[in-house]
Amino acid sequence: MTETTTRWAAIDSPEELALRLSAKGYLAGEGLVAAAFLALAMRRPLFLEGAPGVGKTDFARKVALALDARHIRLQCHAGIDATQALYDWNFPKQILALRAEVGAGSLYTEDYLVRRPILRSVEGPPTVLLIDEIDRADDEFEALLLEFLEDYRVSIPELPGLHERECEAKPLVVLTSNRTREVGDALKRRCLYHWIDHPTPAQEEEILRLRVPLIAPALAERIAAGMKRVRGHRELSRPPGVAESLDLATALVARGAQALTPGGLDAAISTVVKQHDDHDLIRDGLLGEGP
Amino acid sequence: MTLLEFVGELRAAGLWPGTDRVANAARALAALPGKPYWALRTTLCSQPSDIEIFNAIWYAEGPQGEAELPSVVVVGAEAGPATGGRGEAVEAGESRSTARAGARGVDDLGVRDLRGLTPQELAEIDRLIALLAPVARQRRVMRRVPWRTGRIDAARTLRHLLASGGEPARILRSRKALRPRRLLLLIDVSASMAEYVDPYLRLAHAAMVAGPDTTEVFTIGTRWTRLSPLLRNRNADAALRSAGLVRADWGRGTTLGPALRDFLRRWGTRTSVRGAIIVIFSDGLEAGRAEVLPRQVARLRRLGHRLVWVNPLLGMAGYKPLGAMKMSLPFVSAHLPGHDLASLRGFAASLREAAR
Repeated sequence: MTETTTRWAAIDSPEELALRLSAKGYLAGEGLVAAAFLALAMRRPLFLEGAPGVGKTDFARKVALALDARHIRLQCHAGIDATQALYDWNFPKQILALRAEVGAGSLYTEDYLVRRPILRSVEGPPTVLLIDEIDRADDEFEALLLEFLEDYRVSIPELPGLHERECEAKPLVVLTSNRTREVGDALKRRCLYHWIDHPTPAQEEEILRLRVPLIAPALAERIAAGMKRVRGHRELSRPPGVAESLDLATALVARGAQALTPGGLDAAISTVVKQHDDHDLIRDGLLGEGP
Repeated sequence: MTLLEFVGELRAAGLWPGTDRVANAARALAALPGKPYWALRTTLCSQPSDIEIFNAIWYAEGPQGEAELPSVVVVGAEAGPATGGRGEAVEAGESRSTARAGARGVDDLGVRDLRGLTPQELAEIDRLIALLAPVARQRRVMRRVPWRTGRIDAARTLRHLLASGGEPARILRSRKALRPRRLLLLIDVSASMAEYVDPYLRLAHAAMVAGPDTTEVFTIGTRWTRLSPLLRNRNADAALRSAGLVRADWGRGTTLGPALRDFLRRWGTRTSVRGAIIVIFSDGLEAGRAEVLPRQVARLRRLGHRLVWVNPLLGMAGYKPLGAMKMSLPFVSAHLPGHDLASLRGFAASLREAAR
């Protein structure tokens, strides 16, 4: 991260972006790279959906690294509003100023402005702004984002002359959603859309070997194949994602395992089973005894 | 084939990108000429179901150059795969033939009878609408609203402070806002429930009209089918008629457990289920393995706020729950009878309690 760069790194092709991403430890599928390249080229926000644990959040972080940009994350939750996302005013400071010198100057100036993630992202160096789990915010919050996503501009009505913040290096905005709620079309219309699938076994094996460097090749292959089997199981209530297979691999490697044994898997099973009902299905699937 | 022709094909198949999306697609094609598939997919699609339609059109027009219409069926209701009984194998092939014939809802999955509603039945629906109004069931949310008591609202207090020249004349406060709790109705439409399905559908329609934003209705039998969009019509006759036309598995056998499991896999993480008051209308007679249903019921209970089971058999003298039903009962917050209008009204009134 270099705070001094004021321009976006020039990326000429999706292949170059993919190369830069893999250098930072993120193996993106062809579609995801193409979508991110378009987002950069067209200056459009990128809306990512997919099953939990396929690497939506990590993607934003790795894109920032790959492009030498600043990474700012805005985690959405129920009840999030403008004062947490755009900007707020420093009330204690305003009250102190008011009590100290009555009638002197405006209390709504830069001195009292508290910058929140979205305002910060339009000021300063190139930024990858991650608006994480937008589906968890109330639907009213989406309307708040519309002006920003369209023009990369934040207006602050309290500042003299309807101050509008516009930036030279427009941020790359990545929105993620787990589909706990259907996100409104007004917001989606302004974005490029990409659905991230679970990786193929070959991709997953490569991801494991890249992210867990000490892993034995046979173990990586075994986990990737097992995950494919597990995810295909219809009775499963929650299929594990790539995040889970990475955790499993890390746990097994930390225990010095070279291969997937029933004993070793049992010791590390807490990394992949997040619903008690799924325990047997996942265990059998990973060990290759399931259907 | 030009972009506009391609978009025309998409529209014919039910994917309807606006002109701004099409303009975006043109820009994306220019920015990424080497990968037209991805350029178009990221700009024209906005949800997983769009991608299915997109792929169908794209590959139909692809290298093979087949001239026939792609296999996409456009129906008003969303449905899961059949989980048992007949109909398992139809999924892939069926959609192609229905799309071409334009006949929707008249295959072997069966159709409800379409008689109109009597004035008494319409009046009953009106009464139920009043009972099911979502304002009657509130929950607290994170968002804060001005109120007499509660946490100090710094922003508003400061604005008043300015007006009074810096004297803290009035401290303004806020509390958490109230929102209606969601209602999720799951109606068992298997053969053993046949005589009760009509009153339950009317109740579902009443709930839908009372709170269209906070109500979801599904039928469950050998598979799940979402009826919510169809029941939103305020005209009871038209709404129930269109619901009856949906290719749900009316009057088939029951594999409630597997159907619920599939439902939870698709909808379990959505807000329609989480924190909602979940109501199952069923006699709990399960044809499949008995141990599947209780597990799904337990999961529903954990996901929702309250789980109410309305059972038409409960009103009968000497009824004792057996098998899957008996095993599910420990997870149910309230087990209510539902064999006549009085008991349904009682159920509607009890939702007020259930919201707390």
